[in-house]
Amino acid sequence: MIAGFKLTEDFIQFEEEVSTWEDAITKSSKPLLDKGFIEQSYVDAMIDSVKEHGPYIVIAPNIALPHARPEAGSNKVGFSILKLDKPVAFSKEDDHKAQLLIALSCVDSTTHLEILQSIVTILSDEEKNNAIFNAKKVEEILYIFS
Amino acid sequence: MLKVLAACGNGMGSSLIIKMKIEKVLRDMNLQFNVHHASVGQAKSEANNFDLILVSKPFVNDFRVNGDTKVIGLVNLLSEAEIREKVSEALGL
Repeated sequence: MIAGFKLTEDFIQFEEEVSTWEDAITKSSKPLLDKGFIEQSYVDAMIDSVKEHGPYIVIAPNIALPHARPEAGSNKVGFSILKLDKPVAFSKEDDHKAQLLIALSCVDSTTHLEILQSIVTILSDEEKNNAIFNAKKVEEILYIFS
Repeated sequence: MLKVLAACGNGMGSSLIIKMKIEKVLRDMNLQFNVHHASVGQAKSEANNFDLILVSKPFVNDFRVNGDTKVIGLVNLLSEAEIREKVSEALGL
């Protein structure tokens, strides 16, 4: 449990590939939408944010962190994970490809900080980072994040 | 006291990640510092009040700053090595 959010298998998805980065964002955040953590308007805002500002949500090689501002339609803090076999391109540059997407629901400006901190700690750990990219099953990802 | 600003698209995600990482790097470098975070929109108007501005690389060209302010564009926000190298270069250390 991090900041009142418990990651379960329902929030983790594997997919071979998606056709566009818009699809990747939509797909990655679907568990949050289905469970009422976010509204459709929040999904749209995550996509608009990339259209407006560029591919900055690719925070590190192969990792994207789609998110929007709380007022776009977040009801509850949490995150969902999508792992792709084939990376999706957020721009024409190699630096902006992503295979791992972590959609973040920010309900206000501070509640998600603890979640963000733990995500960053896990992703910065080389061993855990490798394990995520080598994972073949939902349970493996769940184990790393809990 | 080094005044640092971390900025990103909406001031909720990457700017906070940069803040977490730059604080650790500057502590390791034994520097005195103060790190704020903001959206790029806010950050642009306040840019000249800071010594260092750290952003994800696509935002670098959004900033027009005076000679004293340095803007650093990061490719890997999780890499303390990249941050340390670019900060050292910007500060002439």
